Amino acid sequence: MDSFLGISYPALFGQLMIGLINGSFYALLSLGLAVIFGMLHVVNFAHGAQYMLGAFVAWFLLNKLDIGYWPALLIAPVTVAIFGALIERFLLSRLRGKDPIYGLLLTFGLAMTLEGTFQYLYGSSGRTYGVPSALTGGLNLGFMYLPIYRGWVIVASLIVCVATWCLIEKTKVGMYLRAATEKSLQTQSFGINVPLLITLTYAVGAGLAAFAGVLAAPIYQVGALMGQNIIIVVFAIVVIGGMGSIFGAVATAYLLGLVEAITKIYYPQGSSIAVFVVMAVVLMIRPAGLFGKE
Amino acid sequence: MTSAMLEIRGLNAWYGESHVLHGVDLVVNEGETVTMLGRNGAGKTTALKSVVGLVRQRTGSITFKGKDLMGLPLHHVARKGIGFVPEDRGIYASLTVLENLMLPPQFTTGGLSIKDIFKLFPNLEERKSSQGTKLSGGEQQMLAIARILRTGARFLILDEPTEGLSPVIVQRIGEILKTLRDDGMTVLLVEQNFRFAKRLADRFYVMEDGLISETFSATELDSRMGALQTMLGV
Repeated sequence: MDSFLGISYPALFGQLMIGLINGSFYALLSLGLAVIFGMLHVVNFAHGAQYMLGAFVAWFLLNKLDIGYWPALLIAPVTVAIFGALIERFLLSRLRGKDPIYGLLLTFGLAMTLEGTFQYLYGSSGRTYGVPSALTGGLNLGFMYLPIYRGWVIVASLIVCVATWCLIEKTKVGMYLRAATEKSLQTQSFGINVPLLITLTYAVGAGLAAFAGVLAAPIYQVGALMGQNIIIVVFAIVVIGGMGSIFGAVATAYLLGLVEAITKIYYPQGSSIAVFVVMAVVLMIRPAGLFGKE
Repeated sequence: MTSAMLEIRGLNAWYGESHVLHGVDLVVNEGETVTMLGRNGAGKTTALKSVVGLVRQRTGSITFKGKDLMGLPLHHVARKGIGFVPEDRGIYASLTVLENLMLPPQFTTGGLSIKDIFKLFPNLEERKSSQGTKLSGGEQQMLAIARILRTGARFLILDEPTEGLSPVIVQRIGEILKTLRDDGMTVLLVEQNFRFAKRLADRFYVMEDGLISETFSATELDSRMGALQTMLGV
């Protein structure tokens, strides 16, 4: 027996692997979105553009400065995080206390501006970014062939998600972050610099998006609109997981990556809407999301 | 000779269009326990929140140890050594009891250690891993006081610490505040239960409609009891 419900094991596991890889990108992006929403109550529409910026910074580093993938994995997120900190300090902070729709509109405008600028400068077609030499080739696992780079993406995403969870749940800064998310003014009245914490949170969220962008560069092409394609799905994932729930966002991301893959196996035409069907069902049954507080 | 630790002059405060405080004058000297009495809605909580900076729409002057507090960002006020226990206790649901205790940073020396806090509040040690908001009302009040004592603050602001608590817990909180007062802590207390307050306070302020209407010392309390009961509707 070398098939499951009419699908051969190599094809089945191959699709599930693609689902896990997509889930890894969804997880990194939804993690950043959830952290930002939890603390700032801003739906960060610029997240897709920050993911694109991460990929472009890696591409620039390689092609203009001859700096390879491994340094880019650190330099690109830090660069985009600094850019994010400036956005928060000089733009978003002016909207604090106002209706969250203003934050959404501002970040939407930023995303349009950034993507439009890059499209103008570099066109709409993607640019290739090679797989780093240490991660080329693949492993034959017997039941499937695993490209090493794709395996690395899953591992790297898991490491960053667990590290972010540990930062939030196990450190003093994380404790301040959770407290400020729950009672911002009171936390500040204890002497904790909440405005700085908010800036850092936005910077870290943007940095996570950029990290995903660097990971994505060798798999997808580096292009001005690469963030637009993925961000709508990521928003759906954050809604399904429960707005602001960090664990919910990450768990749902991997789960929905797999749901998409399974749909692709059995009903390929429906794979692009599977996530949105799940979102509609979850919102009808549990409006706060799977892991959100009612 | 006692020196003024907190001095409020001509304090006005607003919530949006609503003008709540109309020129409050109040002084708390070092080592004193001062109680602010008044009906619901008189402006007592607003006055406290204005001192710690939680109400930002305000004019007048607030000085602490001679230094202006009005121009400071919210997170700089606690760093002067002022601890605030809000009316709703402000316990965090997302933090455990121990995390709630550890949350406010220590800006000065002399704060109680966690060991000392657990000696003073044994219930908190038993429940240190529980979610903060799972504690009873009395335990939450003790947690709210304990976390401020850890910071080393020598000026304690308490907003109705006995509200909604059983007589046994009220008595326990009274004992703790008495110990703190005897230890030299300066306390500004808002309290509707003036039977509780009279055992602790050195002086009283009465607030009506956003203004201080009278002030008197603890020795004058008995002679004013009837008038106060009528005024507070007790």
